[in-house]
Amino acid sequence: MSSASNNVLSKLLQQTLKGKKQAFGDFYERLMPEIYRYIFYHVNDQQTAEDLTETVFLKAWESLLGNRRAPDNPRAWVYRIAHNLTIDHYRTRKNDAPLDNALHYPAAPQDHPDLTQEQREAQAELHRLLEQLEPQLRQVLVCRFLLGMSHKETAEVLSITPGHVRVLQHRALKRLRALAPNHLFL
Amino acid sequence: MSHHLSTEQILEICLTALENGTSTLEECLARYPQAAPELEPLLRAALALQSLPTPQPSARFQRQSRSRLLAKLPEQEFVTFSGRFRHNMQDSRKASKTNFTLLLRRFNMTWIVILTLVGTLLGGGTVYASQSALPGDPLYTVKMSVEEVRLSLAGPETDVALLQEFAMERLEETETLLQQQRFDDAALALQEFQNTSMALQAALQQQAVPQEQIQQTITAMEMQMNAIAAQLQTMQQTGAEGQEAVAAQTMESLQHALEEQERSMEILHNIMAEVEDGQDMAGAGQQNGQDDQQDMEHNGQMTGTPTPEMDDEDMDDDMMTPTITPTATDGTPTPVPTATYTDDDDDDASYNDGSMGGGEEHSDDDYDDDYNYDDDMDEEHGDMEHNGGAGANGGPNN
Repeated sequence: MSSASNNVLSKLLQQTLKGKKQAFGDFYERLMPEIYRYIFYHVNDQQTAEDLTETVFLKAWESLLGNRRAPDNPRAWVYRIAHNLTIDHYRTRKNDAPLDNALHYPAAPQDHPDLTQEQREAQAELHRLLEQLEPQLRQVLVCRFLLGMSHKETAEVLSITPGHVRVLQHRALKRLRALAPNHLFL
Repeated sequence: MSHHLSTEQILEICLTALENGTSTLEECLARYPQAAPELEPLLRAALALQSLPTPQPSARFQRQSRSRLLAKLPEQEFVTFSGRFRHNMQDSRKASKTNFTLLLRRFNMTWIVILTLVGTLLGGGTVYASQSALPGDPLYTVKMSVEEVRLSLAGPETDVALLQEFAMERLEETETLLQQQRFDDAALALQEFQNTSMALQAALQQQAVPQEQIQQTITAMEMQMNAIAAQLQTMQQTGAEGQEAVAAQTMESLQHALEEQERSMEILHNIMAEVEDGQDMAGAGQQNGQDDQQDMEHNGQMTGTPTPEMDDEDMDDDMMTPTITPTATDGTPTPVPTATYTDDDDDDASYNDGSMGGGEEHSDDDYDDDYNYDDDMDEEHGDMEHNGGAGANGGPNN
């Protein structure tokens, strides 16, 4: 996973606690892309993902100043805030979220110019399936396969053990496979 | 072999092998033939997930969200060195007829003195050893505490000299850290330099310091900054080994920080020019300083000299405007005048050109925050950073 090291992030938070707001800006810039991706994979809407990303860091700021100390693992800490926020969002929006959200999935054609229309549709379908999973199973798949986190990192984000991550990962892939039509993963 | 392993374990082994590139899917399946029927669809699902494109926020979000977020953050009463320093300076001005606040200033720092004395008794060597510590080193906090103690014990007349020393120390630390390729720590050192530089600006405005002394400070700092700039340039040309993308990003932020410091130098130059003017005027306009100050702000021109009797709030504005580091302790948003300690329109214009790229219009919202110049500069910086890449990476824009 390409990301800022916890060491640097901790230093930036300590600077923030000393009153340097710009240090929090730097902290934000380092983590924003991956937190945005994490949230996007859950909400599947650019505008919502952007709004929630900002909210995550507002909450992080409040929490940081409330506790007056930097967390031991800043990345996992921010991910946990994002995790809780997306769960809340999922709960509140579950009933009115359109099922054809996957149509908005950005296939990023400039990143993958060689993809056929068929492949793009397969990706959109996969994303839709992901949305149908229980939140915790989806979290594990997002962390492990879409964000490329290790078991340990995933465990920290989800506040579970690495062993539990392995169990959930297996279960989530099975569920995804059961939901998917046969052609999707061939 | 597969008899002893659960599907979960085999899945894990195969996923790791695929991630590391040590096995292909087919090789994995061949290795565990009995588990293969169950394993294959799971592995294919995992591979399909990995092949999903990476979503990107909109280019606009990438460019503006940082400054928008910083503007949204609720203000907080921070206890900072520079904030405290500034507060004390204001306190001193308010009660300039007595020495009471100076006494108070000493008490404010009493706890640090006590801690350091205890530390010295327990191991005087620690304080000594900390003198060569760099940002990121365990002993660096000791070094900073010692500096704070020195500053608290010094009288106002020696503040300037001490702050000059500390500012130079920060620049030297930056240079050393760059040599050691500790880029993030170097960026922190530059940030500390900015804080010290701001305190120095405040002290210079407060104290009657001979022009030669300011000139010496500026020259020394500029030489050091040129050395850092040259070092950065060499590193970019030769390419820091093994640093690659992270280094490139850090390098950019270092460059950005360095540009901020150059603006600080401009401010110091302006202060020096004012000292010169002030000496020429020999105290003329002492009574009218405050009114002049306000008029000049309204006109966008400053041709006079700020006086020590200046209103506190005005002083606040002037000290805050050019700085990169937020240290507001009163929590009240301060509208920033477009003209600060500049001698004429030219200076004002050049500051705007440098920081905003000229021609850029700002809504009132831009001035909601104490540090909107920073925000604007960030945006500008962001523009420069993202203009090239936005088109190529702005995947989900549509």
